Amino acid sequence: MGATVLRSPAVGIGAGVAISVLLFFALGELGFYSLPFILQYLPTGVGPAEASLELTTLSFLIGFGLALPLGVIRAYPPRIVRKHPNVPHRAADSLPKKLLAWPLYGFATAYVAVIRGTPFLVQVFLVYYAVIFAYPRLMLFGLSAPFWAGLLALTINTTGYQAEALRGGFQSVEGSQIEAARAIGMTKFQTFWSVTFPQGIRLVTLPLTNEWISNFKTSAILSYIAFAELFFWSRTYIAYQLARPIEAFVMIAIFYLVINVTLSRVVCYVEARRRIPGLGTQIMPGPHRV
Amino acid sequence: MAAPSIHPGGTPAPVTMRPASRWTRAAVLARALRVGIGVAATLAGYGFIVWLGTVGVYNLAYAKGLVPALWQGFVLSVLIVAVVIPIGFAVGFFVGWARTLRNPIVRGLASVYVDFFRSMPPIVLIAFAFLLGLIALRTTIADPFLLHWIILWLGVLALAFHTAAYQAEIVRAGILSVPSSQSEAAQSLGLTRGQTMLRVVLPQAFRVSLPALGNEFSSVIKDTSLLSVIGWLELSGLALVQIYSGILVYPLAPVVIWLEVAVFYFAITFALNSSVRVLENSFKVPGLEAARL
Amino acid sequence: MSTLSIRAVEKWYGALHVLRGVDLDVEKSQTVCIIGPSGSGKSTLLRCTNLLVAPDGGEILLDGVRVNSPSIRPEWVRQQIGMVFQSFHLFTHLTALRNVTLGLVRVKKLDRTAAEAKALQELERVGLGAKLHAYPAQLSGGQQQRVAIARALAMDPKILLFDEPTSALDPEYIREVLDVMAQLAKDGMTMVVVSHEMSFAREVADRIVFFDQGQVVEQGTPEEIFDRPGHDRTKAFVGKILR
Repeated sequence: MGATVLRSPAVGIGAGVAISVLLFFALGELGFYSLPFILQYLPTGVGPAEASLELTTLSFLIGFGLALPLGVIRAYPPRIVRKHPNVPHRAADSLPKKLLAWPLYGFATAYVAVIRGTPFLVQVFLVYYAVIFAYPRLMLFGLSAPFWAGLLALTINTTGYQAEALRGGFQSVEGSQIEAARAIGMTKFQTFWSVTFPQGIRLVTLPLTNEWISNFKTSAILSYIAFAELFFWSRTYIAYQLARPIEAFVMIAIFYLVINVTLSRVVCYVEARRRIPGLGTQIMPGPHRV
Repeated sequence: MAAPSIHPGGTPAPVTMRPASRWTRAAVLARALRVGIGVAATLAGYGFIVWLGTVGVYNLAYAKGLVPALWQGFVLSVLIVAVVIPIGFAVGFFVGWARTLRNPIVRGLASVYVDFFRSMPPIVLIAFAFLLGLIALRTTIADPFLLHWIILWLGVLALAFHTAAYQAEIVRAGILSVPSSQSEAAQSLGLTRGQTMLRVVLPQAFRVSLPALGNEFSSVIKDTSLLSVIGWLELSGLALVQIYSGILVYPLAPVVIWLEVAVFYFAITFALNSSVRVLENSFKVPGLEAARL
Repeated sequence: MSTLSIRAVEKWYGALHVLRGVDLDVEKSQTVCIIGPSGSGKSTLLRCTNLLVAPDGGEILLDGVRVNSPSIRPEWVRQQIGMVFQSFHLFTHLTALRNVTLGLVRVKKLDRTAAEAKALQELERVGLGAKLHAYPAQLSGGQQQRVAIARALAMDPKILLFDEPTSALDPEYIREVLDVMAQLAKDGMTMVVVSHEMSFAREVADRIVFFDQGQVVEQGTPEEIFDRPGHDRTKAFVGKILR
């Protein structure tokens, strides 16, 4: 009885939080860093944190809109490379469809491969230099080049990753589900919107949450094109200007840990509570991405 | 010679069984097609880039001159990867395994490790490993070159610990993906717990985890680019150096340089992904696949 | 005129000749039971009938109209021909009720209240009026299959195809599904059933078709096929399954 209580996730999380808070104060009391300083200057990080969160979420949402068509195209390759046929036997495609399908599939595949195959650091510098080369004095809605270049780079990047997550989700929808929809007379389009999409989205809830968290972490790199987000604040303001590097690290860690751990725990919990019985798949944790 | 006997003490009939071929003709054809498309696309891309240079969109001679300089950085990047992956895997394996144990303290510690390193952006870890290492060691290590060398490698270590947390999750998921009936079957045959782990659970977990591990390794390759911010002269670091000199000569230099660097990174990750896929295929057992999400 | 006529239907999977010129007629309100060894092409024949699989040759006639022609949308054909699958194929993300209403709303374009009324009626017909809001995974195999039957019935099909509807079921659930099917037959539904449930075939079927190697080998009343099979292959097969 006692053992089962000990193994429950709530106890684990509670213990984790308690230990972390305890550790935070204990190390402060031991003189590794100054607790009063941290508590005094932590509020100055709220603005940069908001900047990080806004940019992350904005690029994530735009990216989702762009990734959806890419994911669909990738999930249903034209005939010859079709690897996971959801419907076992299909009538041959008509010629115009074929002519359209190949370039679309080629573009989507190349896009995903290039975005996932190159570091974000390289992508962001590329975008940044291209933007300031094209518009040296860019200023739009009161926001300057670092913001726009950052938004653009982050959106381009997350689109590629989300497209791949969505592809996986759509392909995990069992062929029998599609066959059943076709058997009651639904068109391909109806089948997608009534069956594949709702099931696929549920299957990728956790991967997409991970993708948001990845996006959030990746946004730290925008610090190096002088976008005033969390890492920029911690690095330039706390560590250099106020000359408190250890505190700077503790403070930025607090922000990232609280936001990311809370979000992933909450989404896991909600997903488990609201999961439709029988609709789930074994998911391998995704890689971290840069 | 007597007929082969199945009785104890008798010589069992030699059974030679080739596993069912995984390289069916269709699979080989599809693979060849994919490689062919890849090569054709690469050549087309290369041709396009050269053509852009010749029509004057950028300075072709300048772009060509960059290749040898960047090549040195490329080699260093590969070297760093070769250090980070083994450390990351070793640490990650034990942390991931610890996450599957019953002992709540061991499991809790492993979870804290994973949560911390997964929540922090790798660039923050690298930058602060460098900075805090400098502060901690500058009084004890007098030799500036040695000090610099050590804190540079601290950055690499930070990266290894970061990827270890991700690999730990992959290892854990792999181990948990093996149904308990497999362990039960092994133990009912009289295998010890250690043997069960080594002979039954891990081989299955490995096959299930391989694609995810492959993805993680290519993340590591891309991650090494972040080391440039603390002064490593690997591929991205050299690119930064080239920009300082290049931008004076030629205003589009940064764009050309970063494009070229992107091609280098793409080449390594692509090569790695392809080899993991080959590996995956050669270890494939029907019925042992993970959902690729 | 037969409700369903299959004329010389051919199907190839690569080099495999699955259907070799199949002819079959099903009259209105008839129940036809197809038996035959596994891999003989029975499932493929059903899938060709509602065009889930495009036949490579031959004709499918529904009330005398050729439906495997480019001028007829396969979606329309599948609306007319209901299908019940071996492993139920219920939509995992929808409750029993919404499994039935989905086709009514999307395909038949009924409004939601009308669709739900119709679905309720069909679910009660199969004895599941109490399980409207359960998800498939919360139902037993027998209940899932009955929902699947209700889903097919709700579309008001001219004919209902059953692809081994009981072979994925635990023994204790087989009876309830067969009872529903027998009742349907009594109500005058036109049905084609691929099944090895001999009691069902004997009691309910008007005609038994023995199918082997992509061809109809022999057909007749249950008595003719089971008690006096004319063909050697039929004899061998019937001997095996009746023992």
